[in-house]
This record gives sequence, structure tokens and C-alpha cells, in this order.
Amino acid sequence: MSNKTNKSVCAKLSLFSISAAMVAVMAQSAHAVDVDGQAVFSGLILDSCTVNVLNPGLLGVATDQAKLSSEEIGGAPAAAAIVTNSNNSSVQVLPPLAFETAPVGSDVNTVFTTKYNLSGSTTADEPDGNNLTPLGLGASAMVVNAAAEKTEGTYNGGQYSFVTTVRCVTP
Amino acid sequence: MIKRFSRSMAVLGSALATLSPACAQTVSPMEKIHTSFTDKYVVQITIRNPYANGQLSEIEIYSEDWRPVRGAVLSHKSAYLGGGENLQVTALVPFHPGRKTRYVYICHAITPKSGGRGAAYRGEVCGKYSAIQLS
Repeated sequence: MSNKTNKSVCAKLSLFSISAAMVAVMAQSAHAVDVDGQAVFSGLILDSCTVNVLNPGLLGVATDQAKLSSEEIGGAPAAAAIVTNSNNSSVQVLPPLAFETAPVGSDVNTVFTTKYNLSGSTTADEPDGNNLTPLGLGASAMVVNAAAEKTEGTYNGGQYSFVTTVRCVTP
Repeated sequence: MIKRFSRSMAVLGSALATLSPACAQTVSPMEKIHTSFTDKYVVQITIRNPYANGQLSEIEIYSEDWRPVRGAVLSHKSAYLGGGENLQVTALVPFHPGRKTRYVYICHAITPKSGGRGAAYRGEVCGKYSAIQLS
């Protein structure tokens, strides 16, 4: 084999070796790029609902003394602030079953009712407080009215009070 | 309408001034699904007094139709919590005989002290806690 041929063969072999090495390196690099590490971040936000009764309200008396209501003259509605961090909660206002303070016989033939309206992240006007209203995320202001009404007879003079429940619930 | 809206916003503004929404929660978590290998399951919740002053907290557990749960046990039925204080409450709830699933409501109520006459209002927050019996 002549020197010229040898040199040509050697050059080709070298070129081949270099190419093979490069391919090997690239393959290894490509393999390394495919292996990705993963750092996982996780967190949890717990659903919450807060009911803050701001003022209790007052009962006024109807002229016929058959009704005690926050909507009568001398009465005033109650106010509550409700704050949620999700839209999974609902709110309702439950009327009482009986007076907490009242003259004897006041509970007889008495029907208790509530109504409420909401503003802020939730807007609603609910004439029946037993009905649930879905709450939006954030703060809502609630105005509550309540009444006790005789289906028969009238209320005697004396001190009256009852407890109405503003309930936030996951239905 | 505008007056009513302004009044509502004023109420909301003053409420937010005294209440920190990020931290204020009266029942946590509000909902959870449990599993149990026995005929009862355990629920743990954290209640909080969101008011600035100490208040009496009342804890009740109700069935799906809002009746008392027969056989359920609560670690606390009432507690006096200082302003902003938390309390962990544990409930042991039995499954209905012959049924593998149930849910209950655990409610935390505070009747804030007030100097007003006439109607009084209490705030109540109820979470829903369900369970599956594995066997």
C-alpha cells in the first residue's frame, strides 16, 4: 500500500473515529437531557366560613300588639358579616322555636319568621330565612329581620327576646 | 337602593376592620371524607372564636336530616374561648346499622354577648363530615 493510500485510509479512519465519538457523546448527552428530575410542591387550603354577628337588632310592636318584629316601628334589623374562602358554603337564618324571654303564654299560637338580604360577594334577597343561599367567595354583609306573630290573641306587656341562628353550612 | 347599598358596605367595612378574613375561621375543615374499618369513625375539627372578646362556644352534631345523632360522642359540647382562641374538637360517630356510608354535620355556634334588648342572634358554622366503612 502506498503512503498516499495509507494517509488517506488513516484520515478516513480518524474522521470515522471522531464522528463515532461525537455520535456517542451526543447520544449520551441526549440520554442525559431526557432524564429530568421533578420537585413536587403541594399545598392545602381548607374551606372556611366565619359568621360574625355585628349587632343584635331590636323588636318593635305592632299597633294591635299581635306582632313583634324588627320591621315594626321601634324595631331594628340585625347585621352579620360572613366571610368564606370558597364557594362551597351556603347560608340560612333559622327562626327560633320559642321565646327565650317572654311572659307566660307568649309562645302559644305564635309563629316565628325570618328574612335576610345579602350584599358584597353574594347578592340575595330571601323572604324565607329557612332557604339556603349559596355564598360566593369573599365577604358578604347580611341584614336580618325577624318576627313573632300571634295567629290568635295578642302579646301581653313584658320583656321579650328570642334567638335566631345565622347558619353557614356546607350542604 | 343606593342608601341601602352604602349602609351594607359600611357594615361590611366595619366588620372587616375587626375581622381578619385570612385567619378567621370558626370550623376547620368545613368538609372531609373519612374511612373506617369499624362501626364508628372519628372526626377532628378546629373551632375558633372570631370575636375580640371571650365567648361561649356550643358544639352540636346533627344527622343528615338535622336531628340529633344517637350514639355520637363529642369531646366538647361547650367551651369558653378567649378572643381569637382555637380549640380542637373530636367526635366519634356511629354508622347506621346495616349501612356503609353516612354523613353528619358538626356545628359550632356562638351567641355573642350583647347589650341590646329584644331579638338576639347567634352565628353558627356547620361542616359536613362523611365516611365510608371498609370491611
